Amino acid sequence: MSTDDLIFDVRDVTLRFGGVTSLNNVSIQQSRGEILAVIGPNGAGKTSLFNCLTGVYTPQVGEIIFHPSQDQSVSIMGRLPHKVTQAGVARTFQTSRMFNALTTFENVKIGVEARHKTGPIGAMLHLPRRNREERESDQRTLELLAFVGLEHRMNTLADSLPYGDRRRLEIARALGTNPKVLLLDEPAAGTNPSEKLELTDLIRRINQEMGVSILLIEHDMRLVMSLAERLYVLNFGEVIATGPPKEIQENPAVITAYLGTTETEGVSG
Amino acid sequence: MASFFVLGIFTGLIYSMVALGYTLVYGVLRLINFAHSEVLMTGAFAGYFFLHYSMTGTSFSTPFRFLLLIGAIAVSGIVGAVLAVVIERFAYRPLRRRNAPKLTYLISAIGASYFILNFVGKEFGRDPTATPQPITQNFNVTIFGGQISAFDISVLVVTLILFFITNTLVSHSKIGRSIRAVAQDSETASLMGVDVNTTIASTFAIGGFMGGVAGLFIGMSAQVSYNMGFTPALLAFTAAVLGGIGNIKGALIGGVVLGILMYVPIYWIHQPFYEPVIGFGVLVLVLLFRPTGLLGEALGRSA
Amino acid sequence: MSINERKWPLGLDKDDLRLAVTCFFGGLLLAVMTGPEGNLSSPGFAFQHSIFSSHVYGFVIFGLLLGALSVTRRKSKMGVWELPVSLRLVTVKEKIRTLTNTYPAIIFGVVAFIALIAALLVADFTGPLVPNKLSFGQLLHQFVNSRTYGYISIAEAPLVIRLVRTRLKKSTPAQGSIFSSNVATVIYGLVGGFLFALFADPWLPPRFRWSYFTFGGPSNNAFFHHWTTYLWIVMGGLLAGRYIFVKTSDIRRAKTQRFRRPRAEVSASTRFVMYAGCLFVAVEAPKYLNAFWQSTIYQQIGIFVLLAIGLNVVIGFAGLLDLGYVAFYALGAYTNAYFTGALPIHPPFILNTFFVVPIAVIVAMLAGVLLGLPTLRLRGDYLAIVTLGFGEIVYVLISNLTSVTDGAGGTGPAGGFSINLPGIHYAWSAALTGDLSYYYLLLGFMVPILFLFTSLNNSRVGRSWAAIREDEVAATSLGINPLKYKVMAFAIGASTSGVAGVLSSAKLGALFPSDFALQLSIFVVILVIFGGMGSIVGVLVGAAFLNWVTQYLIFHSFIDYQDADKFMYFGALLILAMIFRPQGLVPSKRRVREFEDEEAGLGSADALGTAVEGPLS
Repeated sequence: MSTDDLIFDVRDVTLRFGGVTSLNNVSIQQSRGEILAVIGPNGAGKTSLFNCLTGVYTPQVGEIIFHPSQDQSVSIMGRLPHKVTQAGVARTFQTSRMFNALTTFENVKIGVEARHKTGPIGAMLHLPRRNREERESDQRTLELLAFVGLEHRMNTLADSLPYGDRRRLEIARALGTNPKVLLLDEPAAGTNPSEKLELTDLIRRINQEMGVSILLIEHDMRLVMSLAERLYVLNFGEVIATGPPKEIQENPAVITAYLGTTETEGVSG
Repeated sequence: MASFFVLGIFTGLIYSMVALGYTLVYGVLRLINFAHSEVLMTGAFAGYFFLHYSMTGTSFSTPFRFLLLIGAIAVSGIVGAVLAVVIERFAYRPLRRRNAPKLTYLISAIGASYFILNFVGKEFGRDPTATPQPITQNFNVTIFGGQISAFDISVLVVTLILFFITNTLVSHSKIGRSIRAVAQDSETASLMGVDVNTTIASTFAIGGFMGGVAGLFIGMSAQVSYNMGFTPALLAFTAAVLGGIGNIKGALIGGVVLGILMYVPIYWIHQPFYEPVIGFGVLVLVLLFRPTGLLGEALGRSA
Repeated sequence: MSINERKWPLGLDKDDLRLAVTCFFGGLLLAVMTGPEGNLSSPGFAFQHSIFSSHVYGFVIFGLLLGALSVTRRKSKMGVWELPVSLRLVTVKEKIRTLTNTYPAIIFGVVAFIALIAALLVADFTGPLVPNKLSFGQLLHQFVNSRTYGYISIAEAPLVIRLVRTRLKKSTPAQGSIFSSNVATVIYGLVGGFLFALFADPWLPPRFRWSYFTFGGPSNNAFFHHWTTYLWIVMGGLLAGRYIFVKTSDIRRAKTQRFRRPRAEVSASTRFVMYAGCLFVAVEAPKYLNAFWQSTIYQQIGIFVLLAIGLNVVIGFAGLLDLGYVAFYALGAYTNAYFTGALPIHPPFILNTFFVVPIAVIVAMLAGVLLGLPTLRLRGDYLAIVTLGFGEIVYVLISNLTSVTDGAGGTGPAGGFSINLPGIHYAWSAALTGDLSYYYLLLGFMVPILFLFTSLNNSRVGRSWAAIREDEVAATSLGINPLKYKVMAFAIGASTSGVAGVLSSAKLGALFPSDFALQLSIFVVILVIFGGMGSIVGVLVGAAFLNWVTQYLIFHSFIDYQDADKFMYFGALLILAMIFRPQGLVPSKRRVREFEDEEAGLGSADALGTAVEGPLS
């Protein structure tokens, strides 16, 4: 792992809600272009970590630095979510959050327009910039839909899409914001094996063809092991192990953490 | 100055009774019951009719006056409670069954409010009237320069008793447990065998009872008219937010604090119409700086 | 569930009974609502005269019928009762379709005939007042008027377009034939404009007289003398030009990119004909109204339509409930009063009302931003109540700050619109009856506003509003600043209200606080919801219709109706609308989906919280 070209530098982050410590002294480094996965049992603080990285929560302690390019650095701490997105961090959600009353096309277009400048006056008067941006965003939206393979569903309303398509739509929408790093919160949850394969392929293509770094939360071990170059294991809000998939698989601390929770998972659900 | 202070406290107590209705419904449904102002107005009308038809003579003995007051409170409260349940049944429940978006609840409530308001206006005329007074006017105590009348004392006593009962009901009874359960998580509560609809209806009933009684007192201290509910309800909502909406003790404290905040400045400005202006200013300031109110929002946990 | 549950006949159950009883009592309630006004001294009077009198019979029958109908509908939905096949809506539709396919010519003729009759009816209805209005002879008489042909063309145009289209599809047109060349298109446009001028020009007298077609006559009404003739011809030409431009740019774009916009349900040409028709009616029809409606159409209808269009941005587009909307209207009106010197406090300089409009826009917008910034960050219902409070405060202040606003007694006369340029002097008439100059001024404001708001809704801004409305957390994750867009919607709505205030005060002259009572805010909310939140056409139609009905009922009431009763009916309407048709009269395409029923779950209250707040906030 190269330490000189980081895209995310999370240092000693601690997040508390009242008396509950959700993240405790978590440090994570992601290199540019890397596919990194964060795994851990339920309630280990993975989604809290994502919410910290995207500005939804501000941790009490620590520092989160995002490097859009090699010589730029942006502190995420205390930055509002939409500003974080504009800086180049995009995300998807654990439970898909589409704009259900809008078409697939419009959903992605909203993402693409994140970087546009058209304001109300330009929009009302059809100023040249608005027309140019409309054309550009139509074009880009179409490219993205083709990239994730939803071209033929362009005019379908988002909530009538099948589940797997919705996952891909959400990824396309996030890619629309033209991110440097894409955070995927359990993208494979609830998909069937063939969809899972397609998804793995899609994530790899995003990484290789678009050059977007990927930070992944996932339960599905096979998907994580085949995709991720490196893993962080969270348990009770703390990083208990880190390394390439092979090492993690044999790490005793990880095995106990997982065995311990597989049982409770079985009971609860 | 002291008289304004006293005025503030006792008006605030009435507001806090109305605020309780907002708070309870908010705690359970996470929704502002816009039609609560009409509960108050209807309570006032019920009290008016009761007193109008029972006080036909000219002089009354003290025990009889006492009975009249109790009767008026009961009538106003019950009418208020019934109306609140009816509102819940027809304006909210059909939407709840459908999982409608939140905006529709607000709109439906506004519809209910305007319907009741103008219906009463049409049926009983649109001129304001004074309520007959069951409480004697010739009794006054002066404390620190502020005059306290028998009316004020009865407001204080009734408010405290009703708040005590409500608080006990919510924290120690079976229905109170259901209310708290639904407030926490209605889906889980229904899985645990709590009848969500009945619980919500009883929440409206409790709030409606208090609202009706408050309406009676407002009608007695001012006048009864079909559009009397609006301003007190707006201020009572402010009181609920000030105390921390969803919090029963918050409603009491918020009402009193708002009353003082509203009336004491009038001492210097000499312009009584500024009273709602100040109340509204308080609302905006609270929402700006402490949207969770003085005591924080939570039904059941801090109550 | 229980064993000793009683058996009901015909598969009915307890809920059916409940439904029927509700409908019955609904009928009784309606009887009371439409009954006489009561008073406090004899509280039973109103009830007695509405329920224990002959008044009630119609409503009882109505309630019973409604109950029977709803039970039938419920039962057939549940599949307990089967409707005869021939009565089902699907079969009726199917029958019509087969008929259309087997006898296209006959159906076409029938539809064309119906359209013709409709056009004649509209022509008669909007025409001059005659004693035998809408009679057969009067309908035939319409053929004498040139205007009638305008209405007929509008009604038949979609049919003709359709016919031409199907013909074209059948015989594959030769590419680049002389009839589809650009020159031909321009000629079509010019001829179309000429025909419009000939038949439908609202500025010319409605009757044909051959003397119109002189070139040398002195009459200002002569066809070739009147400027509008040439205006329409030029318009026709311009439209043709625009069509050519769009067509060629479409071809060019189709060559460079594969993307095609989703096809609209109504073709552009049909839509254009519809818009032109509406505009034509809006310009033409009021001329033939009587004096009462000519004054009402501005102050009681037009202004409110404008208000509703503005509030639609806030409620419909951005999904925010603004209950103090009239406060901005008041701000606009009093701004006009201030700058035209009608208030006790005097402005540094007196302005022409035309220049007050931008000032009022800015004032209202600033007020909107100042009010919105602190409250729009909070939950949606707080906004509703804060705006409600704001509306009340503005009302209290203008009623009581006598030294600034003259209080309840009303201001001095505010200035009206006028043009004072060298050579051109024109003042819009403030006459209370029979003058349409302000109405046309309002149209002049309204049409651009409609265009601007439509483009806004179909732009990045409109999509951002839709995104925030749907899922604020997801919208934020896509770089949309919710606060910014909400404040924007709020400010745009407020400034529209401000413009309406100036327009209203310019005609009214003296302003009274009672013109800005809080009930009006609710009234505008009702207009928006009735028409269909988010749908500009819906709001336009709904607002005009509701205002018309309320004005109409005052004078033509078959029930005991008073103006103050309208809020009672509107309140009931709101509840019913939210329960049965939350998307409104003419729903917006986007919002239909949002209001569609989700799966009937536990009826849990929790859905309220999660729908708005979501797990992250």
